Amino acid sequence: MIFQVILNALVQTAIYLIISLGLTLIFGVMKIPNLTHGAMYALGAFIHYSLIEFLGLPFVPALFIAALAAFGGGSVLERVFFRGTGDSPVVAIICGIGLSTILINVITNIWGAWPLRIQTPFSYVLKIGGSAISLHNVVIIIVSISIAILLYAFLKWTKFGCAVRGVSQDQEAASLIGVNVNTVGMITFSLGTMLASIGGMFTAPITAASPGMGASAEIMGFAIIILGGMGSLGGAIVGAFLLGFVDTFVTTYISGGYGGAVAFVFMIIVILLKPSGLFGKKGRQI
Amino acid sequence: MTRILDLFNKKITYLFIFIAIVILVLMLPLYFTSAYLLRLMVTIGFSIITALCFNLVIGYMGYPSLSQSVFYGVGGYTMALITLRLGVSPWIALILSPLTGFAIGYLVAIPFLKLRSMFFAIGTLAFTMLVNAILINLHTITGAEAGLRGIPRLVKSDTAFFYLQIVLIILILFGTKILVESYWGKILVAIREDEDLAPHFGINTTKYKRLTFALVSAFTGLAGAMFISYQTYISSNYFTIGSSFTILACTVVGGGGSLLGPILGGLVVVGAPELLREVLKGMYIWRPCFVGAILVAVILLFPGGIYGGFQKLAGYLRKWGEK
Amino acid sequence: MARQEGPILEIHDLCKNFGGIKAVDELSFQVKHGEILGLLGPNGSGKTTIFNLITGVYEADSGGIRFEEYDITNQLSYKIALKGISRTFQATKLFYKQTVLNNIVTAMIARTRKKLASQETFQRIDNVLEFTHLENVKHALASDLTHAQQRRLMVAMALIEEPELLLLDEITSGMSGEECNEMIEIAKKIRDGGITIVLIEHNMRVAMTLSDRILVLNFGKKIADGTPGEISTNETVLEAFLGREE
Repeated sequence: MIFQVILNALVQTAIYLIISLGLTLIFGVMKIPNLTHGAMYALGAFIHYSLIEFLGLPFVPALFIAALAAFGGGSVLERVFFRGTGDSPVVAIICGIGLSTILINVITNIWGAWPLRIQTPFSYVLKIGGSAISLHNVVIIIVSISIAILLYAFLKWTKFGCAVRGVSQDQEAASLIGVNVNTVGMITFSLGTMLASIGGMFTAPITAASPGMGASAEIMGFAIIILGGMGSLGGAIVGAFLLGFVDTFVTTYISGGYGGAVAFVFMIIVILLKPSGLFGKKGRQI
Repeated sequence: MTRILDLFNKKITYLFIFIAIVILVLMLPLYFTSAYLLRLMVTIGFSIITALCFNLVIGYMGYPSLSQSVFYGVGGYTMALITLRLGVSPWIALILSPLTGFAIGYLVAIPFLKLRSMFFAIGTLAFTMLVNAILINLHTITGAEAGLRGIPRLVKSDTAFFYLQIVLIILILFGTKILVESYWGKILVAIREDEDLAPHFGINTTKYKRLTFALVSAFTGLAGAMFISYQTYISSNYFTIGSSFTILACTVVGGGGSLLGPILGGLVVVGAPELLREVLKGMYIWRPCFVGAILVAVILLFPGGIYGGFQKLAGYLRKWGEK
Repeated sequence: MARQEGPILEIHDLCKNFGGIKAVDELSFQVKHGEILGLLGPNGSGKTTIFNLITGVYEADSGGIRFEEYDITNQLSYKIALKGISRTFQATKLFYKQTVLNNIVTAMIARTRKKLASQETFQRIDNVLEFTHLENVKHALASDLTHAQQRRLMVAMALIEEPELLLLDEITSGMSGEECNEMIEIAKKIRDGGITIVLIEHNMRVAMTLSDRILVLNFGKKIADGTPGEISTNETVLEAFLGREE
């Protein structure tokens, strides 16, 4: 029985990881908390749904297209709204709340407020020991691990990845050596937004797609990156595991509603005691 | 022309304008007899009251709290639980609500006001969601989302509530004005501008931050209690992060750090979309979009809000008049 | 004001570490009433740290600070300010978005409350503005002032509540020769008014002209204590500042 809970926790961790990696990436480079993350998480799921339902595309190609659309959307958001807000994160927060409201309203008006069922092609259920895990969930785990590895490789070994790390360490110094900080910011933001949308697309078949689905995902994402250290990728991984397991265990063994509440408690405790998180440094580097 | 502009330099002119506006406002219910419009005005009134309070914390003190709906809820649940469980008159609950608001506000202030700017905003955001989650789960006490019904009204009619609100708004306006123009106001501005510098001039920033936050929470609670009595129904849905957002929007759009800003903000953010509903019938579903768009536009382009815009306009007019 | 017996400020065995670095290393010294004490030393010798320890910005790791009869070690900044110690800062710190007048009013609201709008208060403000040569810019925004004016505004704000001890941290930094002379005259008048001054200076001319006594620090330790004349010929001091010829 406990093995089943562990499996569930792993899936939860994987989803949280996809969300929080994007969030911590954006924070590390642009120094702002992205409050449109949840809305784009939802929007991704809905665009994906429409591509499947109305264009008849299969799950995976639709996912790629929707992810690209989210990437583009992120670029627009960064260029038009978030550029230059790095100096006053509060402006970015308020701006993010406003944009999020707009996006969720748009989603509600286009697709309706009722939850939409999305079919996954990976419906086969694997049996391991006495526990079961759907293929879809296995795919989620594989995808999130791949994303983490790809992201790590990208940041460590590519030229652009170095630029990203440089900007997250010291924006001024990076621009002095010729890095185009604006481009780095835009691409990072788009990347993070794309990851959020992927998270939404994979979660929708499990929990159904509704306009407000991003709210708890986003706040959990913040809880994770604050715990792990805003801007730290390793911290996001540790935080995702921690909260993924705590959330699942509390929900299973204690009570359904309190899973999220426990995450908030953790988050508040960390913010009050060590805002830079478990692995964050004061410089907020990636 | 210059004689007319001269008049604006005299304080007594503003007093006359203010009294004239108050009289006009008091007469509104006589003309707007539609139940819908009356209800709208009362709703706007609550937004204005809460925004006026919030303005002190964000506009003057510079602390962007996202937890206003928590204290709105503290007052609301005080009203609901005391009248329903103890069978007491709502007026007693109304008097108790600022006390509970103050107490809880002070307790919350102690840990959270140690945070600065972005972390304070995120911390209070998390706190609001935590409280909301707790409210939903404690359904035996709070009635959670389904809520509790049958809360008695302070005064019977909507019109009476409207007048009660006007009294409260005037009280809060004058209270805020006195506070802001006194030494307390200067201390708040000092905290907003450079919190680390202020103590070197003998200013006990911790004490004033906590007191201000608790005071604002008290009056927010009072507004919440009044609101719940008006609705006669309470649900945890009233106290979500969305309500904090509306209050934030009213204050920011109207102009933080000014006395009248939140009033303008409340009228625009809550009132305008409703009134436009008649004009743009099908567009009502886009109301949150409208609010969000105004907020984003203001925060990025017009940081002073509507009031700030007026001030600039007045400045231009003055310069033009001097030519 | 007659010179009182006993030191106005007494530091004993003060220690402050940052990571592995000893910013202040078992430092002891006294400041006499009514004197101008100069604090000199190479960069990083701990001078500003001492000011921060005195005004409660940093907590001392060990040792004590006594102001008059009060033990102010590790007290809260605002309480120390209320006891009569004022300071200026190495990097100009002001309320930039406020007017000069508002800056001064903010500096005095902690103590002068009820009489804020009285004639007496206005007179005090005008006096301090005149004293620091800022009477012409009373209604200007602090951000619009020249660098020297901003430095003098810091002094005005420190003086408005009539402190007993004034800490000046490189007050002449960024000032031209003439502006320095202006500042020297102001400092002399402050001392003549009975206020004790401790000043950190990198400008040797200012330090030597103003100080009655000089304390030289290096690596958080006191390496010399004497009159300007004695200090300028002290071997250890010269070595610390100029290095030894190998």
